[in-house]
Amino acid sequence: MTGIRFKSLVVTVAAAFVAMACGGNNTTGTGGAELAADQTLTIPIQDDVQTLDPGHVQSGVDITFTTEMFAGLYGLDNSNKIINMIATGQPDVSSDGKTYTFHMRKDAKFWNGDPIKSSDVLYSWNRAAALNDAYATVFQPVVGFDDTSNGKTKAMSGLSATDDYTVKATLTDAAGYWMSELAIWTAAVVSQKAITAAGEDVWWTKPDTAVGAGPFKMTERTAKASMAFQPVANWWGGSTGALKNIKVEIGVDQASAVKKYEAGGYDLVGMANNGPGPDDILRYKADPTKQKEENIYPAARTTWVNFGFTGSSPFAPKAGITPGQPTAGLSADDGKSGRNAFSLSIDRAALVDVACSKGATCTAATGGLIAKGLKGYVGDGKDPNAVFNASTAKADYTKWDPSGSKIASLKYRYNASAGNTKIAQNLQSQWKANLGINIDLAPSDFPTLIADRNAKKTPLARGSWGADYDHPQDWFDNLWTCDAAKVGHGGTEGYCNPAMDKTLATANAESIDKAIPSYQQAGQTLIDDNVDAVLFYGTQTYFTHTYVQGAGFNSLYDFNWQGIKILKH
Amino acid sequence: MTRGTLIYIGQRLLLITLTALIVSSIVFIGVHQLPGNAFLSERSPNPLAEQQLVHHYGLDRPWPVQYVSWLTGVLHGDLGESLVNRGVKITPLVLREARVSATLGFWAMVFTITLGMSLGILAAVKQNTLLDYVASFCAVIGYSMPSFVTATFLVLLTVTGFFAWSGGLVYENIGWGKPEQIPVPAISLGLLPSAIIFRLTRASMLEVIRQDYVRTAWAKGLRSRIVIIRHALRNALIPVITILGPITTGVITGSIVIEYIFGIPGLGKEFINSIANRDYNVVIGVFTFYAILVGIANLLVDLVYPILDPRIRSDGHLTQLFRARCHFRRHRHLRSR
Amino acid sequence: MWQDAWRRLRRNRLALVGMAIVTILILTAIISAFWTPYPVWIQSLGPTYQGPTAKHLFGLDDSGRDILSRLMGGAQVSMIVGVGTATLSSIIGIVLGLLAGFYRGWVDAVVSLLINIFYGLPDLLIVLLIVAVTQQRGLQNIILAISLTAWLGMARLVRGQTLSLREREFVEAARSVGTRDVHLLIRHIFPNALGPIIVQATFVIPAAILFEAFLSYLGFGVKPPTPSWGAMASEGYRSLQFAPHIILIPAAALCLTLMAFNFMGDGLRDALDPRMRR
Repeated sequence: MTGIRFKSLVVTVAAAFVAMACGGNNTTGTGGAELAADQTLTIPIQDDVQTLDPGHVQSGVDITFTTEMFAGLYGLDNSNKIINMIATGQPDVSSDGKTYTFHMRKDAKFWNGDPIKSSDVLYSWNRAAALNDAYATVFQPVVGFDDTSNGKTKAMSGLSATDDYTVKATLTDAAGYWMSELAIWTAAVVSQKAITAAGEDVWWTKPDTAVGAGPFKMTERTAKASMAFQPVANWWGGSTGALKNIKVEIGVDQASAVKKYEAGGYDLVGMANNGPGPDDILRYKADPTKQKEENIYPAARTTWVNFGFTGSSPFAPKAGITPGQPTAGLSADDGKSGRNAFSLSIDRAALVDVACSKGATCTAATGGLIAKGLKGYVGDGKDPNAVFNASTAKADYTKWDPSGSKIASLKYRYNASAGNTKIAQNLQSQWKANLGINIDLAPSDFPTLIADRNAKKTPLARGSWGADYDHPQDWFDNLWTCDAAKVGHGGTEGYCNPAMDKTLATANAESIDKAIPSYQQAGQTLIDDNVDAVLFYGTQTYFTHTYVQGAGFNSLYDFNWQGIKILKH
Repeated sequence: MTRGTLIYIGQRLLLITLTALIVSSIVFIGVHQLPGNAFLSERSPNPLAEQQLVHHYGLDRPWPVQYVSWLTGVLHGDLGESLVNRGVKITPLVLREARVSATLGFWAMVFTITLGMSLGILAAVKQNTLLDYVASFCAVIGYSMPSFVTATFLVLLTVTGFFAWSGGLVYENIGWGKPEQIPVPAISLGLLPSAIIFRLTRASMLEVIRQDYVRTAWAKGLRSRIVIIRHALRNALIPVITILGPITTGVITGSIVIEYIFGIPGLGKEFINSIANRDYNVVIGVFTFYAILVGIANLLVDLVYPILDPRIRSDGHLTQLFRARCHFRRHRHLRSR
Repeated sequence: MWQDAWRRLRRNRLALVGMAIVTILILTAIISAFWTPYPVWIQSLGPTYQGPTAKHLFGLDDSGRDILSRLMGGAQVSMIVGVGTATLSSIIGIVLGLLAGFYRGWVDAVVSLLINIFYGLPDLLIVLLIVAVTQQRGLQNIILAISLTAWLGMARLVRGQTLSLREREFVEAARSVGTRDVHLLIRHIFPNALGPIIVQATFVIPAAILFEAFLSYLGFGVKPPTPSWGAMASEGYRSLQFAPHIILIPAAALCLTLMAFNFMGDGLRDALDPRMRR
């Protein structure tokens, strides 16, 4: 009896499992060109946005959402070409290149119905300049910028409105790159009414007061938990596309994001600078059925090890430099050997193998800080600091820090993600193997890292930059000028070279083709001074379900939401 | 129900409540004594906003006041509000996720008891045959495999191994919500406890079967054997029921790792996530819930136990039941009464 | 009695196999403190995810570290945690059990209440809480945290043993001669309970190793790059399909170790207490 009972039990259980298995019906076919009924895009991001205020935005995550919520005179399409937004066309430029006259559409409105006039443009631009945050330099060419950014004046004297729909800007010098800058979010138009009513720090945090002119508006926000966006009805700029809802889940680490993506909980992973981790990327590469969901885009991004040049950093040329004071052209550079040691001891090929899915998602950087493929790239193999040389590194280190006291409290700071953790651990291993020293790792979340880096409190940290537009000015002015070196500004090393700043200023005024040699020379200066240990040029990886069309990355930015559709699946 | 049983139930409920409260209180006080607060390491938008947050959660009050307020909330069923996700109330969150974990746990237990008991009975009846040795050996292996190892094995088997041909029918990808996502996590969770049940069932059945008077009856043939097996089975149920309490605890423990691996949105995963996010309110809330749950499970077990074994009847003494929970030692505790 | 036990143990083949494996484990752990084929932390020894080769018998992991060396290092961690927890929890459990069983009264009430309260709670939760909330991830902290839940079993056992032993004649005799309580406990009661105590302690070791594996799998164990089998398994899970050796090898080591201790424990129990034989 027991035998029969046992057997029937086994059969029942087996049947139950089979029944469960056959019950599910999973078709993930691409279907036809039929659109799904539910046009909701759900994506994950790991850390919450730092800010969505165009006058403050600087991190890649924030940029994606800000460019959909806000619009300025110009914008960028999916191939990074400048397109007209609130402007009706290209501006009238004077023959000396110093005066720009912009003509605006008469039908542009904020999503709350308020019409947009030239006074709004002036307000927004002056505000961005006065806030003097990382990207305020967008308005640096304008006359009067210095006074406004220093707080002396409230408005730039070079900006004026000839009538309700015309804006005139006078520049101190011709600036060939200025149009590219006007296409980015810092020049977006914001609502004075909304900001003064809700308060400077708070207005962007709530859907009701985050008033912008972009095709989408925020409909929900719970800090550190979620955000949602919906298209603006009857948007003045035309069609807002097929999507009806964009949901963002915050606080999802890379591994969980991929897991949930595979379960159908996310439509794609990779938007807003939040891509999958290296192991998952490799796994997808190795799996023929998953390969078609994996897209690796070249990204105009460089990752490096940041050396601090100010304060008590052991890598500084001399002790006690205040951020903003010159760090180059000094009588001696006490930190150079240390920087050399730390850079020469890193075998980039090994790092790329470990941290970039066996080289699928990045390439070792041998040509300086500006990423390969962009203007201003110094050239393959031109960076002697990026060559692996363990013996020289060890010699340099022993010369620099014989007692080990300089690195005693040194920690490598980075924002914790699967990829960054692998980089950090590999760096730790290489420094230990090649220099014989133990550097502790100190992960944190991204906003904390940014804050500390900008405050110049990180002698050794992860640094990275993705280009905003293909012009070297984007890199130098934001990262390596004396202005950027000040506390609170985006120059994370605190490197300040007045001579180089002069070269850059001249180059900024010239047309790009004439200016390239000067930029390359500046890039060479950065190499000669070993400002950072450049690691690799990166890619952006997306996992996208086959039923999502129109999403992607164009080496600088995510594709616009307007072009994304969800097919029936 | 006798008066004794009622008193006993009352005592147990009191003990459970006391346990849950004491343990949660320790956790609460311990967490609130830590230096710094939950917001310090996160970059707050500005000090004013941080002030408002601290006040909103009542973290600026002295901790005894916080404790009393929390306690009052718990007694009303309100476990508080999440520190990390503002506005998210913990009680509905816990209940929702508990349902997920309960489903997983239920199927795991079904697997555990089914496999464990049937194999145990079989092995006992066919003692010392090849089947017995193989099953016992496998049981020790099963007993030594951490649930994440079992999970790995099963995933390998279903995704790249034997079941790969099914293309995801037997086990699809990570997540929860579809019936085919249940078997693999449930088996991973239930395999180790099933080895325990197997050993227990086998041992208990053998205790009856191997006694002298039984051996004679056994030799008499099939009909007697059936009677003996039925009797032995009843005997075997007792320790199994007894151990259901610790097994439930074990399943809860194991589910933490299983939910983590398979991305199942249950209580275990929530616990891990909230520890990682330093969302202490949720941590304490989940822990309190578990404490109550386990207490109730143990209570139910202790209630069912006397029904099955008339020799052990509760007369209201806690320590007696306490002693009665020792599995392999049935004879010993009978003697010490 | 001990010789009897030893004889019985020797006849139990499975237990002998278990003991052999445990011995190998202990030796590996000791050796790895002084030498491993490669340093456990060094990355990029070769192409990442590489399978077993002559130079690296168990292959390389996802960061190019030698798996064999890390396996040895993990053995060290497992043994330290296992033996450390068994020792600490046994000491606590034995002391409290003896006191509770011998003196009864309020001591017993307190200890029994403690045991009752913590008995039902999922131990992994408590350990997780302690480890995560105190933010300390050293070996000592992990041992302490696990011991805080593991002492219950030993205390219960010893309490039960003490309760029955104290009624025995030899205790009465010793008492009548005027032996001090402490002396009674240490010289008379404790040795007679030693058998079950040893068995219980032997079973705590694999439980503690399993715990530590769980902790490291979840990311709450020892800090990287210190190797731990659970952490290695966790790292290897994502590359399961194209580099299964990364997870399979530490998983196999873990299972083998746990099995060996279980066999050994079973054997010891059968050897030391024939009444409990199946």
